[in-house]
Amino acid sequence: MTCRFVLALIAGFLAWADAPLMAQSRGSRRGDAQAVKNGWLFNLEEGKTQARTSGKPLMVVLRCVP
Amino acid sequence: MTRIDNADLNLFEFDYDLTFMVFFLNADSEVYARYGGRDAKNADSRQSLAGLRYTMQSVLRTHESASKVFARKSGDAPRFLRDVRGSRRSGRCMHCHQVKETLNANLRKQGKWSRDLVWRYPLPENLGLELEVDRGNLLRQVREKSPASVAGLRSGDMVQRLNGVPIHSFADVQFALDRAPKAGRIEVVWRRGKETLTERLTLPEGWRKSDIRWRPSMQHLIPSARLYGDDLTLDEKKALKLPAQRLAFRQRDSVPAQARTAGVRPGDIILGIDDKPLEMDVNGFLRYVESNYLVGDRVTVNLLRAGERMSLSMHLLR
Repeated sequence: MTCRFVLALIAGFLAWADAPLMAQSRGSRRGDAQAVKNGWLFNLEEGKTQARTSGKPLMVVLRCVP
Repeated sequence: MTRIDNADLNLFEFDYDLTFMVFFLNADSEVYARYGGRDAKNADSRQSLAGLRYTMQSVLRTHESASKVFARKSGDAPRFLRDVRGSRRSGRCMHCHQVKETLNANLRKQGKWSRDLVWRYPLPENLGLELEVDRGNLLRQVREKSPASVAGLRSGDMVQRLNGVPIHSFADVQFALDRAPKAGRIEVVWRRGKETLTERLTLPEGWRKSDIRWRPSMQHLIPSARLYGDDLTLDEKKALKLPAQRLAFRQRDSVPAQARTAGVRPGDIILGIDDKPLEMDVNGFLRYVESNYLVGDRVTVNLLRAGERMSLSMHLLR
């Protein structure tokens, strides 16, 4: 599998990140901006809307920020 | 949405002691698969980038196929933590394990808590299923004489469905096992070459039990043996006619209240608990108690005092 194919595959999933600690960690805001720049969404409903129009599945990540 | 207390717990249902979990959904909030999970060894032993990629590819194939199979949910109506009785609404963010603690506290209030609920999300190997890390639904090995082996599963088989849950990953297997009863049988469907096979796995007594020491939500249930001292030397064991590998340590002068109340005295030779012939040293014994008992359990301490074997009843505390 080529690297390009993997990247396309990952980009092929819509994403929503639910980070329980993100909101309480001020230091994570820079990370949030970077995530948005990389195509990650922080709103599930927006993700579902995009999934419906694009016909793609969603990849939803729930994680604690260290 | 960046808060777990705003998440639908019937949709995002997972092992809340974890700090990372991936869900694959369609636009109608139907769950294809999960990715994540860990064991007591460390947080990463069950995950890899290759494993995540494998699950993503498996999900894409299902998404594009005509016959889509989804994992069932515990409830169709959304369920939020803020609606659970006893949940705190402090406005602050919370850890995922605090969700589990709130749900468990609610079960206790309702009189629905049971000891079995300690062992959530059992490990697949409890039934003999050892999965590859990089290909989460492929069997690396099947343990001899295990329920999986008896059912006919073999190394190299691809688990497709377990207890009604479509399997794409280790996390899917744990989710399927979490829904299994404490005794009985569950259906397993697997692929071997071009063949699809179906059987039932028998769930043996105590099959759910896994090491809970890593779980933040369970720390209050992990007991301490409150017994400690120096291991006997080989010569000392020989003199007492004890096997060389047998647990035997001399209780030190300081005896904690819990053990003192049970009748343990300084200098007693501790041989084990509940008449089990344990082959380990004193530190192994402490780990054994932590991983096999819970706070509140009553155990029998087996010991030697002045050459005489004795058994004392002790209540395990934290």
